[in-house]
Amino acid sequence: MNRAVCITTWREFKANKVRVILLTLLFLGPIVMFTLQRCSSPEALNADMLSHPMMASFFTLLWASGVIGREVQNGTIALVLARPITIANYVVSKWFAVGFAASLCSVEAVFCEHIISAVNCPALLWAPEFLGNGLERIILCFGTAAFLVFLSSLVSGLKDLALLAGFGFMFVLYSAFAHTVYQLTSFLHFDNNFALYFGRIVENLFTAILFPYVPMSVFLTGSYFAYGPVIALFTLITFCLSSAIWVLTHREFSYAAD
Amino acid sequence: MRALEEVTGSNNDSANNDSAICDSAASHTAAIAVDCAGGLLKPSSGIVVSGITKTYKGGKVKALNNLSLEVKPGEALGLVGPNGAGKTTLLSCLMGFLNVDSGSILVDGEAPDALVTRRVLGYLPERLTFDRWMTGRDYMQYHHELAGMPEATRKLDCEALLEKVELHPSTWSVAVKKYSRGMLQRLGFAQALVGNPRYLLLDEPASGMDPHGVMIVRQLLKTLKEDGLTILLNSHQLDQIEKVCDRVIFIKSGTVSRVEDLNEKVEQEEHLLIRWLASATALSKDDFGRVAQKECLTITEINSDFARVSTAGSAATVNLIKALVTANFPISEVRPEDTRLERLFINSSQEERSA
Repeated sequence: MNRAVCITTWREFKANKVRVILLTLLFLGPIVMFTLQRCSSPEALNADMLSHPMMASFFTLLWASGVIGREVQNGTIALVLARPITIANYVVSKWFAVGFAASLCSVEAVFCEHIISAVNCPALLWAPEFLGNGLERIILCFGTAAFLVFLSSLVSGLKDLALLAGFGFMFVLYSAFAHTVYQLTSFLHFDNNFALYFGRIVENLFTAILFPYVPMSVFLTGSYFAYGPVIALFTLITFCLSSAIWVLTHREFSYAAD
Repeated sequence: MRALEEVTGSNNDSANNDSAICDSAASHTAAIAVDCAGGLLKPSSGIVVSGITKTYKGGKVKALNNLSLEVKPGEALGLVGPNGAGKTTLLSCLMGFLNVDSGSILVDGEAPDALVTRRVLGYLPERLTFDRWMTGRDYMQYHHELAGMPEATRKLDCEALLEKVELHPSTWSVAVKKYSRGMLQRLGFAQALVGNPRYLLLDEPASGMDPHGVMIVRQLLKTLKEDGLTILLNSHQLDQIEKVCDRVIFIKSGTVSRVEDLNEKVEQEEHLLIRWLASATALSKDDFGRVAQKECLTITEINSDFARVSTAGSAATVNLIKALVTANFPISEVRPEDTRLERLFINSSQEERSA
């Protein structure tokens, strides 16, 4: 982990006013909604009332979009890699910087929701839902950050957002296609078990990449069902970071004219 | 800063001694070197480029074609060539930014992209880009940390380098986006010196600088060369190369077309501009013509108070001046019209055209 790369990533974000405004909106939006909910119903707390852990993905998106691509586009990456720092170190530092910052923001958001709840209903001060939600957010942040760092290493500038949109579109398209195939095979009375299972595997794969969610309520009970998402998360992080390192290792940077 | 220790020297000195050694480190050709980041550095053995070829666009554009060269430790080597000759590509290959198609590059016996090599290389690209939100000081400190230099000396080291390139202290805390082209170039030069590199690869270091900046760069290069740094200088300013470099390599179409040792005295035709005070003497341009004829010179242009002549070499130039002084010619100025490198460049261009 390289401290200079991490700190520069954070400071660069701070210098971008548009991102700071978006981050503030993202931070305040759910809190305002939650406050209204809490004020109207201060006693009960259920999972639906808390903002969804998926909010963490938006925080990560804000922090991670173009995290490497911008340096490639600006041409600053070459001089960074001309220093005695390995590409692996650079990629992992970027991932950690993004994951940590997004985690901090999203956990802070949950913390604010917690405070509002405790003010409205002191009995909710020790409610475990907040802790579970916070941990899920941290995991989501680091998982999504790994995927976004990988996308950012493939392109320059903010084109990783286009890649992400394309990936999401593929997911929607595939879901529609799988549904059609399943309906068609059912209609024709074919054995559609293969189509069903294959469809589910691919859907799970897409979900694991776009939404690396580990349900804490299941995980903390020590249930075997939590192992799948945890393994998927570690596989995703390892695969994405290794791929980003491979891409940057094989990429050429030059100041020579085209 | 790099601490240099001779094998025979006090290798067992404590870490406290390191900083003292760092400060006093002047020789970059020591037998064994230890940098302040703690890494062992190999003895300096120079840069060896053996038959490298680099193509772009799937082999359609050949930027470097079987190019070989050697840069000895402590040497200043100039790269000269027309635009698109492959000079910047060569520097990018030496920095490990580009992978060569064939051939090899060794810096101190290591590949250019090895970490140990990156520790000894300083690079200033021609079109340097910055994180524009950073201040000059931030930028320097960022690279200082990336170079693995100790935090304790970070502020002082960076300020010393910024002072070295004469970037005014009032601009250190200003965002880089507000810098002029010349200021950016100075900051880039300071960045190249972060980590006390052993080799300095400079691509048009004085590009966009004002005359004062150009002079600073020239002086700085001379000082760095005296300190034992190995310099590879790519510049279109031939006078700068001539004043700093020991050797110059002419690159054309990705190959070395000529190598010239600038320390070697060469007798070659010189073009001079000679001015005299016409009002202070009764001697006329005809008298100048007679002297010139006697000294077997070629007069390319003559006027009432100046003449352009070509001499066979420096000895002939000395004889001409002596003859003019003896003839009581009130000479006010004798100036070479082009430098040795300019003549070489023009000659090689003419040879290529005629070929």
